[in-house]
Amino acid sequence: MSAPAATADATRGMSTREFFDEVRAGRLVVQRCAGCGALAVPPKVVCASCEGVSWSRVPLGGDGEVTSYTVIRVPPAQFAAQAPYVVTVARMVEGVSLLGRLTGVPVDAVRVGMPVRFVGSLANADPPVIAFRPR
Amino acid sequence: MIDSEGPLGAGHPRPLRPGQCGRGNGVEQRADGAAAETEEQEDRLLALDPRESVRRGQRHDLIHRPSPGAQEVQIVDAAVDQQPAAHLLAPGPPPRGAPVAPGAYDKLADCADRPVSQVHARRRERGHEMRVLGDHQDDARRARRREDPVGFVESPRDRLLEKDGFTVLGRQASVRLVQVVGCADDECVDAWIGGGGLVGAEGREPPEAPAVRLRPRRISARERDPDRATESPGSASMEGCEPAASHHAQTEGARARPRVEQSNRRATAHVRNRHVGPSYVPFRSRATSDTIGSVRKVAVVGLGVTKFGKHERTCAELFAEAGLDALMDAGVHPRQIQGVYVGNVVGEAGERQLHLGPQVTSALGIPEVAATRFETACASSHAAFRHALFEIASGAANVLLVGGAERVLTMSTERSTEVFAYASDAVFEQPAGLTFPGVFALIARAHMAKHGTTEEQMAHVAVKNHRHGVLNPKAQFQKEITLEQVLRSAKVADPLKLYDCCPFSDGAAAVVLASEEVARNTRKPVWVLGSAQAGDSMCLHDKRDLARAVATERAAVTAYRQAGLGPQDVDVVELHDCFTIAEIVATEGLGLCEPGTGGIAAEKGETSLGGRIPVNVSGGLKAKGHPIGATGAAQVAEITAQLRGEAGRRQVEGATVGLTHTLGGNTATVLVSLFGREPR
Repeated sequence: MSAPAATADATRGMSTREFFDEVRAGRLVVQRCAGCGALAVPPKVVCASCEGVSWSRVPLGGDGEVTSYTVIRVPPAQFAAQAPYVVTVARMVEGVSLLGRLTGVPVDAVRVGMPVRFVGSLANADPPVIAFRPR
Repeated sequence: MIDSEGPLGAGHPRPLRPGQCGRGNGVEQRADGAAAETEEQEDRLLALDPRESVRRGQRHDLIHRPSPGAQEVQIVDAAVDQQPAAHLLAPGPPPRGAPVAPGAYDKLADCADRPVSQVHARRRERGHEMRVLGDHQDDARRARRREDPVGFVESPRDRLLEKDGFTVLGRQASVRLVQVVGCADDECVDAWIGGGGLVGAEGREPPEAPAVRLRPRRISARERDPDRATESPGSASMEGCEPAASHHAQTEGARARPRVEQSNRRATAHVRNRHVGPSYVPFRSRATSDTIGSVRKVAVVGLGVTKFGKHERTCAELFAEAGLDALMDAGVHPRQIQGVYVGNVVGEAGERQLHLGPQVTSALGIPEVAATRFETACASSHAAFRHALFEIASGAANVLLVGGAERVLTMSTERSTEVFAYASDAVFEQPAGLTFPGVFALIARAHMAKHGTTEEQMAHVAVKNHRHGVLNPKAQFQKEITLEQVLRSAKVADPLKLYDCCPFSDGAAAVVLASEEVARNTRKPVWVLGSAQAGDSMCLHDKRDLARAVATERAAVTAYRQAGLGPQDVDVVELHDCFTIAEIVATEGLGLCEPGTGGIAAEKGETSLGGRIPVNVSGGLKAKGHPIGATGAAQVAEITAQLRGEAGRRQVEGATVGLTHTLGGNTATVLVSLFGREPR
């Protein structure tokens, strides 16, 4: 077999830093496998579906629904002032899931299946945190 | 090759729940996807059937893995299916010029060229429902697959390789450049046409030409020579042909190769690799080995566990206490051990201590002995155990001391919560404020939504394990609690409450592992029958199904296969109940109860001491305590005591086979080991 050839950096997808730079700017941009179309969050080097190594970037619409959630009442030290808060896993309509904070809803009113929308990064969060609101 | 019924090794012939796992039996019919439930059931059954496991193992042998994006294959010879098979006529082929409807060619299973069992046919069919060939993630079929994943087969490519029928179905016009996914040796070419390469897959090109299907076939050395292959009589290069011309060339090619045409009217193609990217060494690889432990037999010959709870001594001192107990139990002098494997997770935060290994051996008076620290989050000492097992099984050592130690009560609850969260993803999860109770709360909520599991059922797990803990003098909590106490305890991360959570604990545990020649001279050796580790996506949101313990299933299948046993052979189980929901999900993943019924099993007392399958008779992490780095070894020690018949008041009568299961982090690492009174 021939020696491995260099792969162009342009096809290597994005870094988590770039992903969250977009989140900070209010956009949801994810990696898409050039081979099979699978979306990847967090960004991957090799596609888990087809093992492809070429990636493009696609923006997501931002709509999704809650697949699971929890109300954190005993937080890590640095989040003490924010508790209780809702952490949710939301499946976006494009098929990929994201974990983030759900705000703008009473903590007891969250339900599985609730339609939510990505609204950028959580206010004052550094590093940035994916934030959703009910839609 | 893949489905060969050759020697299967020691496989347990009995399925998980005879008569209950099949289609429609024992499956609660749900309005929202009864079919998917059934498929999932069936896949679990298949996965737990050792014969199927062996087939999967063989499949892993076929993973040669040139990257699909890394190679191109030029079709240098092909024959054409002049009369499309029936499956191509219904619903197609579409009229000339019409766009190909997505899904028109996803019934490849229907054209299997040999008899297959119904089950296998279904699997094939499902493989194609996934639309690997140029699909989109937003394709309805794919979305469905991601929601209701089936079995242990991870990638579409695996499924395709699983079939020896072929992976590519398309139109000649586009079969000019395809991507190769495997070209292992001179025997076969596994190929599919990657995204966009297949006409019809994305509806981009009209089906001008007859259908072409590629099949794996033997390739002679002569055929592998590109120049000679292209010059061989009757072959026709398709490269550069326009659809119509290509059709013509193909037709001629087919005429010149009547053998293929007559044999089965099926197109074959010779492909020539043209490497344009990284290539990979063609070696045979398995995801997990099924041979561990069969090289040399290994036994647990001694055990030692400190009391769990608050300690003022250092990790090294705690480990030395447990280690010395284990050595004395085994009748082994410290100078006789050839190495120490120690699991420890938060030494940096809890004690500002890295490099625990030599500290331990120093405390044991054997500073010259090799000592290594292991970290796989809460599964650390189980991973240490498995690697010690490797060393002895391989013949590199005869006696090793393995275990773990942890001190976390040096930290406040808030600080501990933060430090434990380091085992979740530092980019996606920690900044969002996700805690470990939060991780399992997300799993619990998903399980409740999918299976109807209730908070009461989870509470039953806590009550049961506390009841067991009363019987264990080493347990951190030796008092019973009531259902009401659990349900009324403070909320930590909804729906988990304080009594759904295991405590923070200090403690250590150790066992002595020995080769057969040593073990035969010890008092009551307990034999390691199997030990497997498996993984899952690190990020919670990246896992396929939060309600399913996928890594547990994977590790369990491998461990059962190594032992030649099934879940129904297990008499006593120590599993990772860091939170009550974790026990429920694990009992399902280990095959101890049907998917979705883990909560019901706890409620009915099936997992209690004296029940159908006693789980966590030590009190589990919930009552015994969870010094995270020591937990895996403590579980092994408990099972060893049980199989020796020395577990006192919590003894499971007549136990001959035991199982330990340890989770690491947010379920991304799982180890499962099986033990027996007798070597296998």
